[in-house]
Amino acid sequence: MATVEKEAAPQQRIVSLSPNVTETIYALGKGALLVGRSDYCTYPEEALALPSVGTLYSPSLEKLLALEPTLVISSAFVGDQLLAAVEKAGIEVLQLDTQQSFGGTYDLIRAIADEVGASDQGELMILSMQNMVRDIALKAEKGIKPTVYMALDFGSFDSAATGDTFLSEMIRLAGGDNVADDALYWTYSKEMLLFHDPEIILLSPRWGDESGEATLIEFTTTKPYSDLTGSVRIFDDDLISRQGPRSALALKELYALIHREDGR
Amino acid sequence: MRRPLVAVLAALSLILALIALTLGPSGITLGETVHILLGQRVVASKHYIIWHLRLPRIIASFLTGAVLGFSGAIYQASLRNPMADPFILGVSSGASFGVAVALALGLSTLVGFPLSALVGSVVTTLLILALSLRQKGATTTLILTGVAINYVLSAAMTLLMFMNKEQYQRILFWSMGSFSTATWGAVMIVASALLLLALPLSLSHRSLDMLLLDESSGQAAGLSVGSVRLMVLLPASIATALCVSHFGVIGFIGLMAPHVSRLLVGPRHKRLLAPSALFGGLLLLASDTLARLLLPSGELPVGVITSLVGVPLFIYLLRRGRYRYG
Repeated sequence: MATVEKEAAPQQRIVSLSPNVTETIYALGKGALLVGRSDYCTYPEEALALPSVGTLYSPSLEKLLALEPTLVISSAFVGDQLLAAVEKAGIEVLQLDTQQSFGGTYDLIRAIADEVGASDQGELMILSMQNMVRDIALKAEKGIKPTVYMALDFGSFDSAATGDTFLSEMIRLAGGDNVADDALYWTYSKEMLLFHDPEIILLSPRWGDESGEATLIEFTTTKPYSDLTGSVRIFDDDLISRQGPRSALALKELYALIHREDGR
Repeated sequence: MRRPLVAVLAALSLILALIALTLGPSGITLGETVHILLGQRVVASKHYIIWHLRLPRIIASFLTGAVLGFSGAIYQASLRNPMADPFILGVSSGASFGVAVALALGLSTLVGFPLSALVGSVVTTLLILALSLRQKGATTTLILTGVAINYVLSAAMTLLMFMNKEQYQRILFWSMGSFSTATWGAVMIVASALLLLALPLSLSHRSLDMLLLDESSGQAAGLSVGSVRLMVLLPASIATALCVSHFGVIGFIGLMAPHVSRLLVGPRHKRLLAPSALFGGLLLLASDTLARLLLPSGELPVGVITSLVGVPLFIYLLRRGRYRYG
């Protein structure tokens, strides 16, 4: 491989403010470089031993600085003001914004791998993910394509994987025909949902409902959702909507979920 | 002037409702809509959309607007304050707080948003009334108590949202108001709320006129001001709470509809109440229709439209009309 390895300084101390970043660093075998994480960084389990600096949206600057990091890696959700303050304190900041496409996952892994001096491991990981994705996409290409609706929230406002999201791209790769492709900005109308009456509804569990059982009951007993005729299936929100080293696996799960044979 | 105005507003409402019924993202044509309404066979999903999504939604938004407009007139009269709206006694902050508590305690799937909101707003209103009842000069005390409790509740709600950030979006969306959850059941509830409000209060329009005078004149005219005030505020608050608990907090209608009606028919309540209700209904139905249509396949919160469209209209009317409050 022709990549020039960036030599990681031995004293590199990293705080990750995003679950997919944390996951990627561990998957690259560089977990030892991490000195801090956010409340949401709960995978892999070793990450839980790290001190947390707070949530994605409002991390504590003081806690963060107390960890004496040399590098802070964040996702798009972290406020610019906070990151500017971190930079002002003389700490390097890497902000990754890759929510737009599935291919963005590879960019994210590559950027982190370069930063922690694991470019080769990064490229290997990307290659094996690309292989897996190609296999799934080929299989999906040949099979039937059921109509799919991925619900991230329902009730007063319906939030869905609309055409402008990477989740929509994942549904397509996994052999689904996303009915919400005609909409934008993560919102959808009940009228269009009922109009399309998709064959498969993928439902994200409400926060705090890990098994998704209560969410499923609420969805299938509330009008007008109860009048949809498709099969409602709970999906693992953390796995599927986090872009990272498990994204190929997530695609495989999504394929299995869409093509599973069962009743409602 | 009253009869023609009421007739015009009612006719406008009906026309707008029919237009709104034919508009929507799923592209059902006018002809198909007529077929569906006449009970003729069309594609099942289109039949469902017209009968179970659009029609209950149109009726619910109109009736909710009517409740808010009617209650607004009641509040402005009984509190003798042109800034009073149906939310001054804590109906909206209480409802939002009820929803936030239910979410924080993980009870939301068990009891549902409407019930938690209803309990929150009724308890808050009763608390505000109880805290200010013993005082003399009750309107000022009542309004100030209401404002104070509203502050406390919004602070408490901010705290709950801060501690449960994952739920923040749901509370926020709920509190912005939406009719997308309207069902025939909800239509029945809002219709009962309007009846509960309109029947007894239309009969007591003279007392409402008296309440607008200062308290001593009211008492001189043989009116027990305190008890009349309570008797009109309670049904108005409960009716508003029933609407808010189903469709979220929809601001401005309750403030604007009575004022616009006063511009057109003057301050006497015999003439004022029906136009206030009709104007509120018309405005909210129009706003909700826009909320449904403005995004290609999604929805905007209806509260955004009521304020963005309503405020310029309101200011225009205030500037060109001769306004008399009492």
